[in-house]
Amino acid sequence: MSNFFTNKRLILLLTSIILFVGLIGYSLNKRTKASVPEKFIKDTVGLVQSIVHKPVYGVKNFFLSLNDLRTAYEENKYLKAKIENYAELSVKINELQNENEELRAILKKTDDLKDVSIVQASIIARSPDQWHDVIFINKGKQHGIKENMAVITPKGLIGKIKIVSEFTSSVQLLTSPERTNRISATISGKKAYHGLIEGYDEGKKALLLKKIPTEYKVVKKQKVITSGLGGVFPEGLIIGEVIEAKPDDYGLTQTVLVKPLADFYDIDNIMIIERTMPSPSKDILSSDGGLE
Amino acid sequence: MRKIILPLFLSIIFISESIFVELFADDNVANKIIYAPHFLLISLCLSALFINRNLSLIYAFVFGFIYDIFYTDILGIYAFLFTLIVYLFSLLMKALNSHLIVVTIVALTGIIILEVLVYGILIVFKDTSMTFTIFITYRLLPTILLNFCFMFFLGYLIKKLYVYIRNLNYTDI
Repeated sequence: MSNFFTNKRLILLLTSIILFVGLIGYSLNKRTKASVPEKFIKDTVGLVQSIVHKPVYGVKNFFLSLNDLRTAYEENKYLKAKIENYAELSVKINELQNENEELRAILKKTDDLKDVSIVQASIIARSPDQWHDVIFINKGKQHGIKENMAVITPKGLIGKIKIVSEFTSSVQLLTSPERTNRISATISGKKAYHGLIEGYDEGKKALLLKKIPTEYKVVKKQKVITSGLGGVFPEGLIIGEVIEAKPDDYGLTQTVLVKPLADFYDIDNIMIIERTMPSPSKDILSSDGGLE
Repeated sequence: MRKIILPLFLSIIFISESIFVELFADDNVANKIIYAPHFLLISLCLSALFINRNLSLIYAFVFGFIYDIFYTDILGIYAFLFTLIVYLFSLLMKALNSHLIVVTIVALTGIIILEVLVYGILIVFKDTSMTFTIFITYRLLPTILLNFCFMFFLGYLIKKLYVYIRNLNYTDI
């Protein structure tokens, strides 16, 4: 240990600590933009990851499908019972859709918060340190991906685009504990109530939907969808189902626990949703940022 | 040839961590338990012991930096900590016997230091809401167990590979 604090090493240690703190400070400042060398490394690593990932995922899917075979019989029975209602429902939907279009034509309202364009992507990696719930996908700026777009699976919303590089981008999952992870959401019912999804309850495995008025009686199993009022997400993406409600710290509003419908672990293909309706400019949104 | 084997091996380990998480991170099996693979750090520590310390320190910094850029987006955390831990590891191993059991214990201590320091940094930057007791029971212990398994099953093979690489170096020079 005696030669540990010789001059040369001490200077090396001090400079590296200064460099370390400086780098962290630099990277905490800019949240969504990656610099050119960063993008280069991201794309190179991403390319290798995506090559390796394909066969590995094939093997995984093979074993998963073996597992599915066991439950196939039960599932088949259940689905057969369900499909009888389906015909009736689809006729109804058709009718409603036509009616909706006619009414829109009468009102001359053409754009809608629900209008979207979709990009398909698949996952190439997952962050191994697991502090931040982040996954990486094989589409980037070249494919029209931008920051803060909504990312969904067929089951429901899973997160938003965090950092975009040329050919890859990272997705921040809903379960991520970061403060900027907020989504404007609605409990769908006779009368819609808007709130904000802020945070994730690790113990109950549920998202926290805050600022719902206390007089609103929340019922179990009510669906929670995006409201489109945050500026970037389109309206009507399914997030999850209500499990329970509890009053918040001050008793003025209530916090609703929402069980996400999408599976955050067994994800293969995802869709990135861009709403076609223009978003309000950044200056209008609060400087706090990150509200979708 | 000899210059390529080690970085190639480390790159494979680097990618294998992500694949491992993708394959085994399943919230049905492990409800709240998080196990983080630190295979890269183990491989770097072993290469510092069996091949060359200074070269390993450089690789620790480079791979740590790539890790930061690709996975965490907070630059510097892993680049700095990987280098620090590989340095401390080789410092400690100078005084100790390089039997594989001793190496395993010291490397796992390194992983504990890494996990605790990263946790501390994230707490300072308010990037995590995990409490310390949950961190210890649900994250640190499973992580140590996982990496112990890695060392148990692959430690000997990695040592063999590294000794092979080192011998290549001698014959080349």
